[in-house]
Amino acid sequence: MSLSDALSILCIALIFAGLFFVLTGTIGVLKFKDLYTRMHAISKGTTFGFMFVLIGCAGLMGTPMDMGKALLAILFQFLTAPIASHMVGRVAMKKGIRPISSPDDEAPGVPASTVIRAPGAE
Amino acid sequence: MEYFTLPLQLAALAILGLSLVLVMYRVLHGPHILDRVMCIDGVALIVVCLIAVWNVRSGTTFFFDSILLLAIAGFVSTVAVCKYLERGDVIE
Repeated sequence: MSLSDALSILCIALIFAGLFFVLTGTIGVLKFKDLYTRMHAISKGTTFGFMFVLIGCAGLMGTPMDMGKALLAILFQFLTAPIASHMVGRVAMKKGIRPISSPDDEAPGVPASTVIRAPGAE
Repeated sequence: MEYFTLPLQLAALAILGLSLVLVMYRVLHGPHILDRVMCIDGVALIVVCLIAVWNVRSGTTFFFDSILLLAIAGFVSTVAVCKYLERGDVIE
């Protein structure tokens, strides 16, 4: 087995590791009960899997131009994903969506998962 | 390249399609509009992964430029909707 064979097997393993992270992130989006925890799942898990999938695909493609484009996309995603999720969290806090908390520090009379709907959202 | 056989390609595309369906459930049924917005961002990310895997599968580099465009579109749409919800206006 030569070096390039080992490298391509490594790239395939990277692709499937990234697919695992993407799938777990989306399952978290489906299963979590709160907007903040869902945001956590999709912004961390999917971005992390995205990095692995693109590195693996760039390694399999092999040309330096495509590797540069994939690295640029990864860099851009890593710069912008925290900004986007931070903005979503700030808007949710301003809209009055309460995070799910422990039963101790619940405000009296207000259930923890109260969702105050934005105007226009059904 | 020859190790990325057809069952592996189909498995990768199937996993990405399954995660796309799961995210689209949250986009369609999300209780709040912010759920839908951030899941649309996730849809853009998964479609980028799908394009990358499809490029490797088909052996062309034809669609590789659209990766950057889709990543930018997802981020800009999230920021625009968040600004609209926060201030009632996108461009001030």
